[in-house]
Formats: sequence, C-alpha cells, structure tokens
Amino acid sequence: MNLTDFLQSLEASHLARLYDHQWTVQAVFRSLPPVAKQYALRLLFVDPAEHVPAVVFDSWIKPEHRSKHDSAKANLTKLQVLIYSERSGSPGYRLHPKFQALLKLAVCGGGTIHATVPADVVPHIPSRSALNAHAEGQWEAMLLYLVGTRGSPPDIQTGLEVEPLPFDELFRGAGLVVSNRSSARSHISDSGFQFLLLDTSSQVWVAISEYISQAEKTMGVNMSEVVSFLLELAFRPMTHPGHMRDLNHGQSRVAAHMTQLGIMMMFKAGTSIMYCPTPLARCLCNSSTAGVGGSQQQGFIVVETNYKLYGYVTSAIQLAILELFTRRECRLPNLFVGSINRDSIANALSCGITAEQIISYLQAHSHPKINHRVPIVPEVVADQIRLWEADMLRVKTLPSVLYDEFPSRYVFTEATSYAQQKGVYLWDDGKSKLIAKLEGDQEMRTRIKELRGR
Amino acid sequence: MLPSSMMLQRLKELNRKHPNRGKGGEPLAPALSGALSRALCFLHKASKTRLSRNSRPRILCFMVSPDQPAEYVSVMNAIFSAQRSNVSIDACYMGKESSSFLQQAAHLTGGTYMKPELQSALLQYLNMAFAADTATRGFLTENAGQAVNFKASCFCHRKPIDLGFVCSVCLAVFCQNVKECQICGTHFMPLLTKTQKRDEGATAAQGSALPSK
Repeated sequence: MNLTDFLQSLEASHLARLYDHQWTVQAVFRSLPPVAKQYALRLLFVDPAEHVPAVVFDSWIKPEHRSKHDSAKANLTKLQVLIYSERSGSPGYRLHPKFQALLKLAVCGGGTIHATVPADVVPHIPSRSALNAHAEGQWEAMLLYLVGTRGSPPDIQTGLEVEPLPFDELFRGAGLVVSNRSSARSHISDSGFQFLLLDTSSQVWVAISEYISQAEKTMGVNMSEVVSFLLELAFRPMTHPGHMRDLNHGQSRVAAHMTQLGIMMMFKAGTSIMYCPTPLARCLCNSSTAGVGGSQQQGFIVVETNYKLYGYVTSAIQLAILELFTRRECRLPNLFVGSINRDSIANALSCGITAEQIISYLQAHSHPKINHRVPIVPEVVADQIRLWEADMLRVKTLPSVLYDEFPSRYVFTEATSYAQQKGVYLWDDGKSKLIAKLEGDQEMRTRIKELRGR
Repeated sequence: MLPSSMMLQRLKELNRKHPNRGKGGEPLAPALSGALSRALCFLHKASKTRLSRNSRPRILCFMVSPDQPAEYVSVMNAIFSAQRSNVSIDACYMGKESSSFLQQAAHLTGGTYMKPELQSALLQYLNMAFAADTATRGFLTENAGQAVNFKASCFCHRKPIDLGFVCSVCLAVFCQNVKECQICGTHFMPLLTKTQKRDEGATAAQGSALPSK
C-alpha cells in the first residue's frame, strides 16, 4: 500500500478538497507514474484560461505505446488532476486549477519549509539516531501489541492532555484483528499476519489510511486537513522542527497520535513544545517501495540452500515474525538460527500467509552480505516453499451431502445425472452412494422424492 | 515574474558567479569539454554512493556560444567516456546556428538535442524535452528529429572538414596528406599513382585518401 492506493480509495468529493493544500499536491505529483508525471509537467505552465487541444495532447505519445497514454490519462482523470474541457467547440485538456497553481508554486521554489530555526532551539533538536530510536521503538511496540506479546499499546509520551490513540479500534478497522467471543482481547487475523510481513512503508500506509478514515468519523476532523498535515510532516526536514502552538486543536490531536505511532517526535525547547518528523514519516510521500526506510531497515536474514535461516536480530518483533515460518534451533544474543521445514511453513500457511509473501519477506530483508546473490533466496528453498503451499492446496474441502440407500438402481442413476446437470455433482461409488454439494441439497431432495414416487 | 524569465535570470546569475575569464579579465573561449569532464567526475563520485545505485544519470548542457573546433578531440573524448559510463547528455543550444558538438554528444549518448525557437518559452521547451527520464522518453514522441551534423575536425589545424585523410592505425583525421601520423607516429607510404599501382600490384595503401564521413 502506498499513497497512490490511498488516493484511489478516496471518493471524488474528498479528492477535490485535497488540492487545497500544497503538500498534498506535491505528494500526489510525486506519486504519479512516469508518463502521467510528464503530462502534468507539460500542462503545468499552460495559461489557466487556455487548454491544450485534445489532438495535441494525444500526439504526445508514440503510436505503439498507446496503452501507456490511455492509462496515464485515466489515472490523471481519476485523480481529478486532468480536466476535460471544451472551449469554443474544440475539446482539450487542462490541469485542476488549484493543483496547477500550487504545483507551479512548488516548481518555482516557493512555499518550502525554510523558516530559520531559532538559535535557542537548535541544541534541543533530537539527533538522527534519537529520532530513529523513537520511531523504531514506537512502531515495534505497536506491532508487538498487535501480535499480542505486549499487553499495552505504545505509550503516549507527549505530556499533552489528549486521549491516546484507540489502537484496538484501529486494528479492527483495518481488519488486522478479529474479535474473539471467548476472550476479551481480540486475536490477530490472517490479514494481520500478512501485515507483519509487509515492508514498513506499506505498514505505515495501512495504519495511516485507516487512521484517517476513523479520524473523520470519530474525531470530527476534516480529512483533507489531516492528510495535508501528515504530508507536510513527510516533507518537513528533520532539522526544521515546528511549534506545537502553531497547530490548531484538531492538528495537535493528530500530532499526539502520530507521536504515539512513532511517525513524529515531540521535544521541549525551553518552555515551548516542538515537533519534528522521524524517518517513518518519509514513507508517507514516497511512491517507490524499494529502499524506503533507508538506514532504518538494514537487512538481517541469510537463507542457505540447506534450509537454514540465520537472522541477525535483536528486536522481539522481528524474532516473532521469523518464528512464524521457521523452527527455532538456536538463539544467541544477536543471532537467531532457524530451519525452514514443512511443518513450519504449513504453520505459517495456516495463519493465512502465502508462500509468495514469505519469499518476498526473505528477499526484502536479506543481509547486505548476500545482497549480490542472484536470486537472494536460494532457488531450491523458494521452490520448495511454493511446493509446500501447493501441497496444502491439493485438498479442498467443500460442504456436501451424502445420499445413501437408494431404493433402486434406476433412482440412483437418475439422481446422479440430475446432480451432474445441476453442477453440484462431486462423487459416486457407482452402486448406491452419491455425494453432492450442499447448496444443491434442496433440489436433490425434491428430485429424489419425485423419482421414488414413480 | 514569468517562470521562463526567472530561469534565464538564474542562468545569468550562475554565469556571473562563475565568470569564465583569464587573468587579465579577458573572456576565455567556452570550455565545453571541461564542463562535460567535470560533470562526469561528479557523476562518477555520486555513483559510488548507495543512494544512486539504481539511477541513470543525465547531463543537461546549455550552450550559447558557437563550437570551438580546437576542442574537438577533448569533447569527443568526454562524449565517449559518457557513453561508456552510461550517462546521457542532453543539450540545449541557444546560439544562432546549430552546434555540431552537442548534436553528436546527444546522438551518441542517447540524449536529446534541442534548439529552442522561442526563447521566451524556454521553460516549456525544457519541460517537454528534458524533464522525462531516459526510460520514459522511449514512450513519448520526440520533437522533430533534426539531422545530426557529424562533421569532424582535423587533428592538425582543428578546423571542421568534409573530406579528409584518416590514419589507418589510430583513426586520426587530417585535412592534408601527411607523411607521418602526428598522433601515433605511423609512417605512411607515399600515395601511389595509377601506373605505379598497376606495376606493384595491390599493395595495402596506407595513407590513401579516405573520406572521413
């Protein structure tokens, strides 16, 4: 999941409001696919009162790459960035006026966050490593709470009087947990396990998009304002903190929640409270998934051809994830040794994780020492994991009904052919037993009664 | 201010900050080869960092003054090294004629050469031609393809020539028949006349006139 997916999920009326804020505009522009981005740039300096004739617009692509053109056009239209207009009878295209104005401002170097930081604040700005530690700590605490190894959600460390983020509702809304009637606490769901294997930037977006939709419902905050605040955070340099007092009530609530998630960090400078983004905030406006998180996410997994897995891990959540699909053999202070075998994979598959997800997780988190290997996960291991998955899918269960003790051969054959006709036939023993799908039971019963009556 | 004029002003500012003048203050000839080599050095340095592992670097070259034939060899060398290191050279020429150097640079490295007709719409030209990365350019229609002027300059007097003599060993180009290659030192046999040729048979004729084009 990323910004594009989030935007695609929004309704049209919501989208239009987003372009009131320059950070949203910039982030949307960055998230566009390459050809669409070029079109936006080409239309950028066209006079808002004019438009580019459709003929010219359509001539921008080579005829053999027509599909790219159409998809870019559809993409831009869906985001309401591109607007179809007709002027004095000729069709043409132009950009959304607000989008155009704000993007122009950005391209011409206006509206950046370059307010000079007051000298008395500078010594208080948290270092990069402190920001990293905060982001990792909070995010991991959230994941551990999701898995259930941690009893309480991550703390709120702001000193502001704001009700903490309702993590349980957030998880439930995103479908990461399912409520269990027998116990008070809900359990992690299949999609929750899949969520754990995602890269951090996708995880952030899953959580944030759910947060945004809940914020509008429960907190009564304007969605476009939340989005623009979050994206401003994403664009804000880590060395340029902002003042909490500049935020309005709704924004400061969001800010407190983001601190809890580890997307931003608050600190005191003298008497005033300041905030600055953590590396996690960068995930919000980055459209490409590769290499997101940068220094924050160092690979740590080495997979060998003998199905051994070495993970240089210290964090509890990474350990928990590895144990989802490996059997622990040995645990040293900084090293986890596990083996991948049929049982461990079957275990993971039964949690709803797919083989592809396991393999891509192993690839995404490979140790820098083995990064040059092609493929990173040995083929024999990857293929075997896929085979084990196929093995699990070999047997399919269907709710069905067994019909037995037919009065005569005639009734049996008639009933069998009727089941085949209706497409509910599953199996018969050729003599007296017939199995059909459950959904056809009613029809089968009436048919058999009819046959018996004859 | 209009973005185009803003751009031009920034370019002028850049020019003022880094004046290309000799010790006495007299203007020097434009150092295209120096600029290209320097850009290549920066790119080489940048390519060592982790961030740029997957990027495909490009050089955008603005030029106003006409080609300096004296620079031919060094410019060509810069172009070839750009070609080797997979760097595209984009060229925006804003002088009167057209620049054969930049045309060749763009052609050989897979970049784009453009000469804006309307300088007041410079920004739109730049947006249309240079904003896209090399992969995306494959999908977009290019601006009307201009014929590339492949004219070479001779190595002896540095003047552009249409027809010349090529050393068969090092491929150096000369505007006149010489006895010895000035670059690699190969001794050429004198040109044979038709009658001599018939007498001596088909000997390999080193130093024979070959069109350089």
